[in-house]
Amino acid sequence: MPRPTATEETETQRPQRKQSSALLLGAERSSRARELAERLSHDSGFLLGAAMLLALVLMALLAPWISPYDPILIPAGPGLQAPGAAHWMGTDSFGRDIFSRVIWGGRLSLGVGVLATMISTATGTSLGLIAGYVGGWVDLVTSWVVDILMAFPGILLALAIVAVLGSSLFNVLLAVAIGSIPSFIRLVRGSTLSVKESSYVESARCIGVPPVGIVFRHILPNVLSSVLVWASLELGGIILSASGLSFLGLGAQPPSPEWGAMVSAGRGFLREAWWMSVFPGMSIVTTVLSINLIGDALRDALDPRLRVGRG
Amino acid sequence: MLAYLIRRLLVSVLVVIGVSLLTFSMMHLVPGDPVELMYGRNLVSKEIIQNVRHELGLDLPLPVQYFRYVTHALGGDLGRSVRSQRPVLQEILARAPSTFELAFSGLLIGLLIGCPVGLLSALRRGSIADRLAMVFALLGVSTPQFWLGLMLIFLFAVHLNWFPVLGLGVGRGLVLPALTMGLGEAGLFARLFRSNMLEVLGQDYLVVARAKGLSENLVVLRHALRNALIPVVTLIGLETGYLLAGAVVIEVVFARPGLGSLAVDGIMNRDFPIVQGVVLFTSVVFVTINTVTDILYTVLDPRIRYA
Repeated sequence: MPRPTATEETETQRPQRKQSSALLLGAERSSRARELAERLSHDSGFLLGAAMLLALVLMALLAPWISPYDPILIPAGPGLQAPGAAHWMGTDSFGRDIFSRVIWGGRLSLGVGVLATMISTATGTSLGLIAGYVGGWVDLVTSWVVDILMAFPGILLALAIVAVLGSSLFNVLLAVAIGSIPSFIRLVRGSTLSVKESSYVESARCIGVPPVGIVFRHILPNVLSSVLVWASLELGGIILSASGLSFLGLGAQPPSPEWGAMVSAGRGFLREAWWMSVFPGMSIVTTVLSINLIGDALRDALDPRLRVGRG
Repeated sequence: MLAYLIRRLLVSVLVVIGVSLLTFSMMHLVPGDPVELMYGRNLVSKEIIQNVRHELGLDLPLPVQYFRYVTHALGGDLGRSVRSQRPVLQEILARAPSTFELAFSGLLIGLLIGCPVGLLSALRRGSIADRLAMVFALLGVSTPQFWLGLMLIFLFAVHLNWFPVLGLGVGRGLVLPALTMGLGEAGLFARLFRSNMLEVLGQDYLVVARAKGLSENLVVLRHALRNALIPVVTLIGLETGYLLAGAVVIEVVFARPGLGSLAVDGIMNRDFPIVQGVVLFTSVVFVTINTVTDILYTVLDPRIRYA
């Protein structure tokens, strides 16, 4: 009896195999997700961080309905009122309610942080997958560029980018996003290199799965947890950098209620109106702290190899 | 060892070439004409702008311009500031010591607070002291330096009047800026040192050391500490860069003249040669420090050489 040719074999058996492996993968994934949820629900740090972040996100989302005053419009009353019943966090030099501005500012600060992190995660992960999987000169060039970009310490790269593009909150978003892409490339490239050599990727290649399929179905799921952990750790740092650039006057411009810009506006009134810079700053600390609590917990649960980075 | 050294140095040279390419392109990536932006479009005549373009070599082909940029930079010529008309290198060298003083004292405070805290946390794992220390460490890495600096000014300069509001010089003026920098660093070092110690404390060779009858103090001091310190050395190398960059914000908060405030003023004034110069200078310093740390690392941990 002639042996079935490769095409016959795949034609008849592949659908079945695909189905069973999909089933297996699905079952394994949901049990792992359950395990993760179980672990996190007992982690007091994670619970505290999640509760704080949820409150902050809700506050930002519900800003139009919960903020007591307009954040931008300058009222007729006197400025620099101390915190009291009418203004919980006092008013700024123009008489605007700090509490309302802090609530609205959450949209800007959180929004910029989340968007920038999403951009850098997506770009860095894609480039890291390509560099790691394709190898050769693509990998060499990518790694060279990563090394170069990482030679600009901290916010210096972002600073240079803003210097070129000009000052605005959008440019700050781009700058901090670009600034954190290299670390994602390096992380994903490394994991891809090790996963690429594993026997199941080898087998997938042998049965004729195209490179795109291998990268997305077999390699990506394996690096995803590291990426998720790294993204959560980066988010805090990105929010700090973005607010720092706005503090320097390179990001959000007045009268926009961005937290860093608000702290900067309060600088000149430290003696007579501490509340102008104290409350926006505390909002940044609370936000970054909650994100770092979540990031730490995710790291411990998913990927303990990733050590403490800049948080 | 020699092969490793050569390879490591080669990588650094390639990175510095890339950094120079990037800083060089800054001026060319600016939307619009950099010379018009620097001098103000309507303030000077077309002729002057043409002259400046010629002086800066902006009318030459790009590769020629890059070659000029690199040869000039190697000879210490980073161009002239548009504002002060002084050579960029002169401006940088005048400001650099102040930034290095700040970065160094920040690092020192970070290490002096962070390492003991991390060590005690690891040795008393799970205790209230450990938990408290880790809460402070997390707060340290979650607090924006520009805000911490302002709060320190508010408390120690405005209220208690212990230190001056302006953070100038190396005396009392340096205390608050250095503390601002050091507290965040302390959090980072404490977290890293604690996790290193915990990892090392669980290793087999420590069990052997204890089994030999060494006292617990000796085990910790002779065997655990040395190994837990290795990653800290790398972090110091990495952190020096962040400290130099962190100085940007802190210098602005404390009105301390340094490289960071020079760069920010440069951006505000659209003084591109200054911004290019500071970015290039800081990155080259950073790359040099990292190369040295990597080489030090192989001395501390012979395993790296064969990796």
